[in-house]
Amino acid sequence: MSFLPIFRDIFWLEVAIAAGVFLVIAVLLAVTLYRRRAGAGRPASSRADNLPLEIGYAVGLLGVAIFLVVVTANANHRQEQVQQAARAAPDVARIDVTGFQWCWEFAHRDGPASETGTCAEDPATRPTLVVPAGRPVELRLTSRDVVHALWIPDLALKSDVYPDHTNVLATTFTEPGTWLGRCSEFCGTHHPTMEFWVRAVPEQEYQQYLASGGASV
Amino acid sequence: MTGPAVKADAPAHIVGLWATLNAALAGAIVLYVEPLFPLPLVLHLVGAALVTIFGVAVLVAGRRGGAGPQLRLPYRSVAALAGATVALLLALTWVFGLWVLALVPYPLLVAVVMVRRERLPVDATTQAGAPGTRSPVPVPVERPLTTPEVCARALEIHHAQQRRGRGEAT
Amino acid sequence: MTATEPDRTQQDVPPSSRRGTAAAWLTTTDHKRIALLTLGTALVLFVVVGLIALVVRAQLTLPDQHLVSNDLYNGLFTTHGSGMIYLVVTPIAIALGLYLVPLQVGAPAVAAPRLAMAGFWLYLAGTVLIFAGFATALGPAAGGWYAYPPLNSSRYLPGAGQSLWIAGVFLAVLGMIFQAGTVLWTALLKRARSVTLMRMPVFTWSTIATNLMVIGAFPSLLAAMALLGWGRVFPDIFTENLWNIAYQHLFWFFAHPVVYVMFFPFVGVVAEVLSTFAGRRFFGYRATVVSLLVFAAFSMSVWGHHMFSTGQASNDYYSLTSILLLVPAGVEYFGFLATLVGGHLRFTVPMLFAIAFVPQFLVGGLTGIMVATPVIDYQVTDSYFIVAHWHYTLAAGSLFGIFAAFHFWFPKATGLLLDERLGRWQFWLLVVGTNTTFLPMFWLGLAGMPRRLATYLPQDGFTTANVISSAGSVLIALSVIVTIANVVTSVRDRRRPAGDDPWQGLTLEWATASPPAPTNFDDQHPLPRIRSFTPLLDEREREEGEERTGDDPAAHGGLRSGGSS
Ligand code: HEM
Ligand SMILES: [Cu+2]
Ligand SMILES: [Cu+2]
Repeated sequence: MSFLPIFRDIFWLEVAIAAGVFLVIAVLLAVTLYRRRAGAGRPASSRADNLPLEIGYAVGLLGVAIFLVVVTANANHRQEQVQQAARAAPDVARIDVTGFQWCWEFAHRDGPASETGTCAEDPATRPTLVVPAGRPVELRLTSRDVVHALWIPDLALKSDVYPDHTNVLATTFTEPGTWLGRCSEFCGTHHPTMEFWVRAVPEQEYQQYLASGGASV
Repeated sequence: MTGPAVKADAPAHIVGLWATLNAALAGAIVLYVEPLFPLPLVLHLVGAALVTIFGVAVLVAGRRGGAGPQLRLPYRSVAALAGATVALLLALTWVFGLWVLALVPYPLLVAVVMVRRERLPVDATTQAGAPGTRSPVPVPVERPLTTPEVCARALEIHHAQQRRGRGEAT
Repeated sequence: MTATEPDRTQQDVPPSSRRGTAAAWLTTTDHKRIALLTLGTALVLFVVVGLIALVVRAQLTLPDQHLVSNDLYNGLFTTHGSGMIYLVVTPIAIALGLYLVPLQVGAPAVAAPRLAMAGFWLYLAGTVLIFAGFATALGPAAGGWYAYPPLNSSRYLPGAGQSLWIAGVFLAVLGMIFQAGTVLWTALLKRARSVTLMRMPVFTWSTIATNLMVIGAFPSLLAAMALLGWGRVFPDIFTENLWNIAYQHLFWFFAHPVVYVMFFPFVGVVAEVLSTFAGRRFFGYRATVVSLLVFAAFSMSVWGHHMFSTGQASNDYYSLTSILLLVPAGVEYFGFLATLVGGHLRFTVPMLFAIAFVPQFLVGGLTGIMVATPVIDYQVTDSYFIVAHWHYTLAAGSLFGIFAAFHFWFPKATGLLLDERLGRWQFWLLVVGTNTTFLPMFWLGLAGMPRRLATYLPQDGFTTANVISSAGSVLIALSVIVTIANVVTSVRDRRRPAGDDPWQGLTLEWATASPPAPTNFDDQHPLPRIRSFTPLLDEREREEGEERTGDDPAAHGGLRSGGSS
C-alpha cells in the first residue's frame, strides 16, 4: 500500500506550503490596500525598480522550485520502486483487468476465476475485483475499445487503461476490506456508472475464490 | 534584456532567444526515459522551428526597411469574408459530402476579384491629394503634419476618386 | 463602404459617409473594429456557454437527477468546455491585443488587417459549425474538450455533430493564429519610431509572449484535428496505441500553451490596471518583461503533465519544467504586489477586478503546482479537484482579468463610462459566486468525484458540496445579468461621456480620442513625447512642473515628490 501514504505526505506538504504562501500574500495585500488607499493620503512612490531585490527574490524562488522538484521526483521514484519490487516478488498475484464500454472484466492468472458485469444503474450489477490481502498484487490494465481509467479513490490508486497497450499498477492491499472503484477517464454514455467493487480478502478466501472459478465470496 | 539599450529596430533577437531556449528545452528531453521517444522531441523542435521561421521573417522584413508604422491600408476586406466562406464550405464538404463542393467556386471567385481590387496601388500615396485618404498618414508627432484645410481637400478628392471608381458621374 | 475613411475625426466625415453601416463594419480594415467584432462575438458566446454551464450545474445539484440524458449532458459539458476555451477566452485574449497593441505602440493600423479580418470570419465560421451540432440527429459533440481518440473516432461517436466540432475547432483556431500573427508583427515591426522595445507597455509585452506561443503551439492543434479528422474517415488507425498517444501529444502540445494564452494577456491587463490606479509605473518592469518571455518559452515544454497518468510519458521531465514555472510566475506576482505597496490606490471598478485577480489566480497557481507533482496528480487527475483548479485559473483568474479589461477600456472603445454602482454589484456578486461555486469542487475531487459525471448517487456523499456549488453559480448568473443591464443602460442613455482619458491613464491609447479615430492618432490627438513605457505619466509629471534635468527621466521612473491627486 504505497500509494496512499506517499500521496498523503506530499499532498499535505504542498498544501502547507501553499497555505503559507497564500496567507502571506493575502495579508500583505490586505494591509497594502488599507494603508495605501487614496484616502490615506500617501503619495505614489516613484521608484520603478529594485533589481538586487528582484534578482535575490527570483533566486530564492528558484531554490523553492528546486526543493519541490527534488522532493517530488524522489517521491515518484520511491513509488516506482515499490511497484517494481511488488512486481518482482515471487508471490505476486497477477490479475488482468480489461475495461470496455461500459464495464470491467477481472481475470485472475493464478486460477480459472474471471468476473465481469454490466455496470447498469443497479449497483448489484457491478463486478467485484477480488484480491488477496497481505501480498503483492499486479493489475495488468488494458482496454477493448476506448481509453478508460481505473481509479480507487480511497486508496489513491489510479491508472489510465488503453487499448493496444498494457499499463501496470502493482501494490499490496495490507488490510482486508471493500472499496469502490470507478472509471475516471471519460469514455462515453455510461461513464458515470462504470463502477466496480474491490475486495481484499484473506489468503485462504482468495484461494477458495480462485478454485471455485470466481463463484464464491 | 538590458533596458533602453535594446535596439529598436532589431526585435528579431527576442524571437531568436526564445527559439534557442526552446530548442535547448527540447534537447533536454533526451536525458529522460521517454516511452515514445522521438515524438515529443520532434514535436518540440517543430514548434521551435515555427517560431524561428517567424523570427527570420521579422529579421528579413526589418532589414528591408519594413520596420516603422504601417502606412498603407487596404480599402476593405470582402476577400477575407469570401476566403473564410470557402473554408467553411470545405469543412462542410468533409462532414456532409462532396456535393457541397459545388458551392465553392462562387466565394472563391469573389475572393480573387476582391483581392485584386482591395489592394492599394503601389503609388497610392503619391497620387494627387492622396495622403490622408487612401492610406493612413504617418502618425503626427507633437505637431500636425497637415492642416485641416488640406485634409478637407484631400477628402473631396478621395470621394471623387471613389465615385469615379464606381463609375458614377463626377 | 469606405472603411478606411480619411483619418480625420468623425465630424469631418460628410453625411454621405457610410462608416456606421453594417456593411462598413463587416468589410472593415480597422484593427479596432475587427477586434470589437471578435470581442463582441466572444462575449455573447460567454453568456451562451455560461448558460450551458448552468444546466450542467442544475443537473449536478442533487444526486440521481436526470434533467438531461447522459448523452446530452456530455454534449453540454463538451460545448461548455470547448466553447469557453476555443470560442471565448482564447479569442478574447488575442483580440484584446488586436485592439490595444497598435494603439499602445503608436501605430495607425495593424499589419495585414485583412488577414486579421479573415481570422474573425474563420472564428465565426468555426463557432457556427460547433453549434450546428445541436441541429444534427445525434446531437452536439460529446467527447469532451480534448476529444481523445479512439472515443472520438466515428466508431464510438458516429454523429455528424462530432465531425462538425472537429472542423469548427480547426477553423476557429486557424482564425486565432491569423489574428495573433498580425498582432505580433505589429508589435515587433510596426511601432511608432519613438516607441522602442523597452518603451512598450507591459500589456503589449504580454501579447508578444502570448502570440509567440500561438505561433509555436497552435499549429499543433491543427495537426491534431487533422489526425482526428482522418480517424473520422478511417477509424481503424485508432486501434493502434501509437496514434492514440500521438494524438495526445499533438493535442497537449497546443493545449498547455493555450492555457497560458488565456493567462498572459490578463497578467498584462492586471499590470496596466493596477499601475494606473496606483498612480505609478509598474514596479519591476524589466524583470516582468523577462519573466513573461521566459515563462512563455518554458510553457512549451510542460505539455506532458497532462499525460502523467497515461503511464506513457516521461513524467520527471514534465514535472521539472512545470514546477520551474513558479519562478517567472512569482516574479510577476512580485510586480503586482510591489506596485500596490508604493501606490496611491483608487478603488475603481476595473481596479477591484484586478485586485481580486491576484489572490484568486494564486489559488489556481498554487494548486497548479500540486497537480504538476506526479504523485499528487495520479490521484487527483480527472477528478473534480482538477475542475476546481482550472476554474480558479480561468473563471476566478482570466475572467476577472476580462472584466477588469472590460471596465477599463469600455470607455475608450465606446466613449461612454459604465455605471460605477452596478459595476460594484457585479464585482461582489462575482467574487462571492465564483468562490462559492468552485471552492467546494476541491473537496468533491478529494472525496472521489470523477469529472464528466452526468449524475451521482446519494450514497456517494457528494451532495452537500454540489448544492453549495450550484448556489454559487446562481450568484454568477446574477452578476452577469447586472453586467448586461449596466452595458444596456449606459449605451442607451449615453449619459456619461468618458472623455479621452477618464482614468488618468499611463499609456498611449489614452492620448487619443474615445473612441479613437480610424487611424488612431490624428492632428487633434498627436502622439505625445514618448520616453518610457508610461508616456502619459511622464507628460503629467512634466506638466506638474517637476524639476527635470533633461536626460531620460522616465526609463527608470522620474523622481516624484508628493503631489497626489
Ligand atoms: C471563464 C469561465 C469558465 C471557463 C473558461 C470554463 C471552462 C471549463 C472547461 C474547459 C470545462 C471542461 C469540460 C470538459 O471536461 O470537457 C468545464 C467544465 C465545467 N464547468 Fe466550466 N468554465 C467556466 C465557467 C464556469 C461556470 C461559471 C460554471 C458554473 C456555473 C462552470 C461549471 C463547470 C462544470 C460543473 C464543469 C464540469 C462538467 C463535467 O466535467 O461534467 N464553469 N469548464
Ligand atoms: Cu469512463
Ligand atoms: Cu497544462
